[in-house]
Amino acid sequence: MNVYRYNDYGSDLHLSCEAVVVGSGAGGAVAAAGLAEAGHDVIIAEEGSWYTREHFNCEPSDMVPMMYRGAGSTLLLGIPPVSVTLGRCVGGTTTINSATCFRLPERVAGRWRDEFGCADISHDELTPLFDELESDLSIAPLTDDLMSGSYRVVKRGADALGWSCKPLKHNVKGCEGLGVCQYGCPTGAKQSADVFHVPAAISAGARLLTNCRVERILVADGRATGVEGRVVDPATRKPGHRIRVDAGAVIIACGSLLTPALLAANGLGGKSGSLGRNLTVHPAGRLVAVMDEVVDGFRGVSQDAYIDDFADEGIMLEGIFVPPGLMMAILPGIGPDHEELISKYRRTAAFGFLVSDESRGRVLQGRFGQPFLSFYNLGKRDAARMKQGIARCARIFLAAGSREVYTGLRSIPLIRSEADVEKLLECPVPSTDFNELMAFHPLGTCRFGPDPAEAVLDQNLESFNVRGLFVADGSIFPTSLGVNPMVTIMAFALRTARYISSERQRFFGSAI
Amino acid sequence: MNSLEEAVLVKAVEIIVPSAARVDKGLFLAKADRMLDKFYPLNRLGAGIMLLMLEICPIVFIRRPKRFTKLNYDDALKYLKIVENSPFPFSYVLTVAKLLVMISYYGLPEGRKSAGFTLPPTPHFRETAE
Repeated sequence: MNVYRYNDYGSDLHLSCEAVVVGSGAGGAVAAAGLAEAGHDVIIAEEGSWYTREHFNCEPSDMVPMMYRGAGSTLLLGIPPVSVTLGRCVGGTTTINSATCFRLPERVAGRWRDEFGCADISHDELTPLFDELESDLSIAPLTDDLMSGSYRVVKRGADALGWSCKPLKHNVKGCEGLGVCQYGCPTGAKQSADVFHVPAAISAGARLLTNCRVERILVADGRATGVEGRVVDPATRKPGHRIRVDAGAVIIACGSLLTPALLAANGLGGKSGSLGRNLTVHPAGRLVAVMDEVVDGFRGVSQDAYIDDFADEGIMLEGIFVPPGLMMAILPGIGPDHEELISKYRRTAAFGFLVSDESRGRVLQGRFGQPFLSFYNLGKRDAARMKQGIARCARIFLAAGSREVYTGLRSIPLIRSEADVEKLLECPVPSTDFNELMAFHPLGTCRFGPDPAEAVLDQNLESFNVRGLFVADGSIFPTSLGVNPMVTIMAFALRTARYISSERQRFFGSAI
Repeated sequence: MNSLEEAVLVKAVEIIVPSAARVDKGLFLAKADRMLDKFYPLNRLGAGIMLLMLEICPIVFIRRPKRFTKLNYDDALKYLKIVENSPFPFSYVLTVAKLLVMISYYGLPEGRKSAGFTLPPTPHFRETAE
């Protein structure tokens, strides 16, 4: 059997393979496919279920509890708490993300080399991997027919300001612009891991264990030898049969919040003290503007364009339009005020921003039924960047003709003119002023580097502490990236898969 | 969801979205319950505490010695507006309820229609997944 679904587990299971990959998101799926296609015997263990397009009805109130970790209630504790969106399904967060693709910015790779001594990782070395992934996943800029009504408003405003608003690159093939990327692509156009890399791995002979929560990493004589876990009932989350997988290489790819918690729970943090620390999240916000004309921002791709004119300041502006429930949850208004605002929904446009954060959070081993405990406080400099992001988005909408821009701030919830923007820029904006603090890209809790005293992983993403134990997800990066990280995570996972394959004698004891 | 949480959410949706008075509360609560059911234990506990706080705090915010679910429309409206405009962390008393109300109500056909929002025409659309 190549794919184990919940009802396929009739008893405890003991399997063996060359490499076991824990997690099937951007990192895990690509690592698994890379190893399987190189001829290795691979098992993927995924906590979530495998949903396909037949399950996707586009309605957030159905899809969020089905595929989002904790029904979207994952929080980083802090003042204020930060909401983090993560997937729990085959394909991981790639199944529910916006399909936005960026390569690792050259300046970030340069910083890793210059500040962190990561001489083994160069932008040039990664370029062929990005080329390969972009070809495999049909990554290309969105065409004009797919752009949303919101984009046309933002483009008009950005053009008036002399800012460069460009279509984003997406990993889609035959996209119809339905605008529901975040709730499971109902046409299968999005080349997420559940659509491309997991099937590719299975076609190459990999086995997939769905609804399998890994709890233990097995180690003998300083080497990883496999994993143990439990089958999890997808309806009740209750653990059932035990599963053990023996393997020569163990690749953990559970994401920046779960991976450090799993390593910590197994006492595999190493000596650096870095495990679970250095959490960056790209804190993000969004503005909603009421226009005179009908915008219908929900028609067309929901995250369709970006403005990187301010990337050097650590601010990236990106499109985001959401269905009414998610939009109205963060807008002010009760009763008649709410009714008036929702009556303008078809005339609203939205645009957001993310910040390359200097603030650092922390992830601890889970307790009280939580898979992890995570903490993050937005620092003053990042709050100032957030304020700049709000001001720039507001200026775009004002330039496009809006006189009603909702900021997501408590102190200045509504901007009607440039004078209001000036007032915003003059006011201090404490972190508690943000109505909604959200993040989509937790990174950095298990970082690589040349020095075991400072990093958890070496530059091949192998643990300094336990040989044969690798990490291949967003937790590996020494700093935030400043852009959506999916393709960079994939590139590093592919690089690691090829490294493991090239060292097969060491890990598997035999040549293929 | 316990009966108190259900009562708080029904009252909240009627105050926040007056036109929701016409919707089937059973369907609305089923959507909210599906969300809460998938929360992690601590988050679920926190959500329950926030809903309880919303129920018992009119005395704090508007000096009315009544539960939220027992307030008349005008007092309930005033109460929620004051909570929403309160500084952090007091405003968080309303956050969970508003999130659940919005996602659940606008996940219903009546809610979508009232916003002028339509789901894309896909062959797999059903009112409830799974």
